[in-house]
Order: sequence, then C-alpha cells, then structure tokens
Amino acid sequence: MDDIADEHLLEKYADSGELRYFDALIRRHIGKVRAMIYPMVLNDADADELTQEVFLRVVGSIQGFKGQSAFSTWLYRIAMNTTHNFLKRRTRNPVEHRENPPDSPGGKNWSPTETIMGMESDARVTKALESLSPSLRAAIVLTAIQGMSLKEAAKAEHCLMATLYWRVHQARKLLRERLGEE
Amino acid sequence: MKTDIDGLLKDWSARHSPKQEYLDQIAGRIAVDAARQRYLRHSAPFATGISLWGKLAYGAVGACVAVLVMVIGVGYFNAVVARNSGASLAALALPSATQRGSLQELFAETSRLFPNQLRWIVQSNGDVALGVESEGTGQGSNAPAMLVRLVLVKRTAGETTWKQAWTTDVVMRGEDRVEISPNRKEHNKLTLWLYPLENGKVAVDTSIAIDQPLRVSGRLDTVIGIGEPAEVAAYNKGGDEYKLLQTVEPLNGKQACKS
Repeated sequence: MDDIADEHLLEKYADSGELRYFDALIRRHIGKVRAMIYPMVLNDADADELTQEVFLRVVGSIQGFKGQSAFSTWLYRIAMNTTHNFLKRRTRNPVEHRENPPDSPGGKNWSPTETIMGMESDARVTKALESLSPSLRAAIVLTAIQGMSLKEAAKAEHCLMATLYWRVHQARKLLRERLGEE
Repeated sequence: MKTDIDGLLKDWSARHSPKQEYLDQIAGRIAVDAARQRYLRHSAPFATGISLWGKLAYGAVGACVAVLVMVIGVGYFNAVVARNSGASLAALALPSATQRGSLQELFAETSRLFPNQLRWIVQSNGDVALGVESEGTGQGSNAPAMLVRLVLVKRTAGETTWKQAWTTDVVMRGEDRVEISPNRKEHNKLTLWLYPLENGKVAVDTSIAIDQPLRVSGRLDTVIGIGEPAEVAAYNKGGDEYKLLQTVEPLNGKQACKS
C-alpha cells in the first residue's frame, strides 16, 4: 500500500468503499495534520477532536475532490478551514482554557534537565503563539514548523502568496518581541 | 543576538508531537467513525426509522408514567411470528436485503481492518457502534457471524397495522456473549449469547433493559428457528399493543424465513 499515490488511494476508497485504503491515507497524513492543528488550538483534546473531524470531512466530501491539486493540498486546506472555524466558535463561545493533562502525549523522552529547560521554553512559546491572531499563527505554523513553502502555505490558507508573506513577516516580528531579543 | 524563532518553534513542536501509538489510536477511531458514516449513508431505510423513533421517543418522554413491564412466561410467546400474526409482522421482524448487505459490508470491512479484534456490531435506530477489542486476544469465538434482530412493534388502539417502534440489529459470532448499550445510552443494556443447535435452531439468551419507546426489562431464554422471526414477548400500555420480535440468521447466508 505504501507505493500507492494518495490520489489513487482516495479513488480506490471512493469506488470500493474498502476502509483499508482510507486507513492507509489516514496513517500517512495524521501526524502532519495533527501537528498543524495543535499549535493553532494549543491543547491536545481539541487537537485530537479536530484531527478526527478533518478526516471525517474528507470522507463526507470525497466527491468534491476533483484531482486538480494534490490530495495533501486539499487535505491541508480542509484542516486549516476546520481549525479556523473551530477558533471562531471558541471566540464566540469562550470556555475555560483547557490545559494539557500531565500525561499529555509528548513524543520524545527528555532528560530531567532538558525537561525543566523545555518546560520554561514551552510556556514562553505557547504564550507567544497564543498571543498571535489565528491568521498570523497559521502563517508561522505552516512555514516555520511544517516547513511548507509560501506557495503551499498560501494554498492551505486559501490566500495570496503576498498576503501570506506579510503574515509570516508580522508573526516573526511579534514572536521576536514576545520571546525577547537577547 | 537574534532569537532563533524557527528553532524555538521546531523544538516546541517536537515536544508536543504525540507518540506513534497515540496517533494510531486516533487513526483507529477515525476509521471506525468513517465506517459508521459510510454504513449510515448506505442504509437509507434506517433513516426513516430515526425520525419515527424520534417522534415516539418524544411522545414517550411526554408521558407521565412509564410502565415497567417484566417479561413473564416468555415460553408462551415464543411462537413463530408468521404462523400467528401474518406475513406483514414477519416482514417487520426481518432485515431487508439492503440492510443485511450494508451490515455484511461493514462487518467484512471492519474485520479486515481489525483482524481478530472485532467482536460485534450493533445498529440501533440509525446509530451504529462497533465492539473492537484493544488487542486481538483471540478469546472471541471464530464461529460464523450471525445477525440477531430485535424489533419492538407497536399497534395503536383501534388500528390494524403494526409499525416498528424500535429496532436493534446485532452482528456477533455464535457461542459468543456480547454486552452492549443500544443507542449508546448507558442505561440501555442488551446482553446476548447464541448457541447454534444441530436441528437448524439456535438457543438465544437475551437480557434486555431499554426505556424508550417503552420500558422493557427482563431476561429471555429462547430456542428459535434460524431465519424464523419469533414473538418473544408482548406488552400492553395505555391501550397500545407492543410485541417484541426476535430473528437470528447467518449474516452471510441466504434468508431462511419459511413463512
């Protein structure tokens, strides 16, 4: 299954309904999708729920995929749309900010020193990201964290490259101010 | 010295990247939900069941007193439906070809996705739940999958026709015992155990507790013919008649109703 292109897997799933094709797509992209969403919502429970929602939206709108762009471009756009909609809802109906539980699903095992330093740095970065507007946050997440090109990031955000460039520039400036020039 | 924004962000992101096993769990949940969505889209006949159930449930909530009906003298009611009540009642008790086909497809797909882990599938008035063990323990039965249908039919006072008020389909394996919550409501309980007999019949132990559209609670030990709908209990509430019908048939076999 590893050598089958995304678009072909999606087509096979749409035609046959066999879940193994969709499952392969999920497993191929779930890490990146969640890594795009988490810095936007800044807690694990919401990131998990939105990740699920994104893939279920893909199932519900398979017929809308015309193959004019890569599957990943389409998927990332759905992911960012879903996340922005969620953030709008959260702004309209604010709830108490959900902190991550102590056993949140971190990936790397850190040494005690690394952990202490990491916690301090973590809190600063989280606070700085939280202070950005969703569109500025999305721009810096897609480019600096996900390593997307400006063109890819602009497609995911459904905006002009020039707009995205400006957002990245603004986000960097604000982050530098908030994380402190040394 | 300039702050390395990209480096800080990447380190921060690495700290918040979940382990692969955690992502696998989310992926599993998505696959199950996708299977459920697809199943619901392909079983349109159930859609009408949802709205009917919704109306009945609403009516039941409005009723001041719910009557607790204990199942008594089950053996008396355990008669083949088609013989006693006419083919129309039997038709209500049997899944349609479309419904059976959708369940077959869902069972086959999810069995392939969760080898040795899928224990059961329950479809109750439009809601679908899958019973998947976290690890394939191999403790479940390997007997062929069976489809057990429980239908509560209702006839309003003064009417002659029966209508489905509540339906639950369970796909499980013979000799297996499953405990489920129909409609995923905690207070709804259904325990089933099947044992196929040599004479074309099947022994079914059923323990049921639901509160809508009628409160039904009790235990049934029945022996019924495969593919033959049986009336296993009857109730009367406020002049309305209810019957609980049960059918067991092989999931992949031909419809065996002899009526």
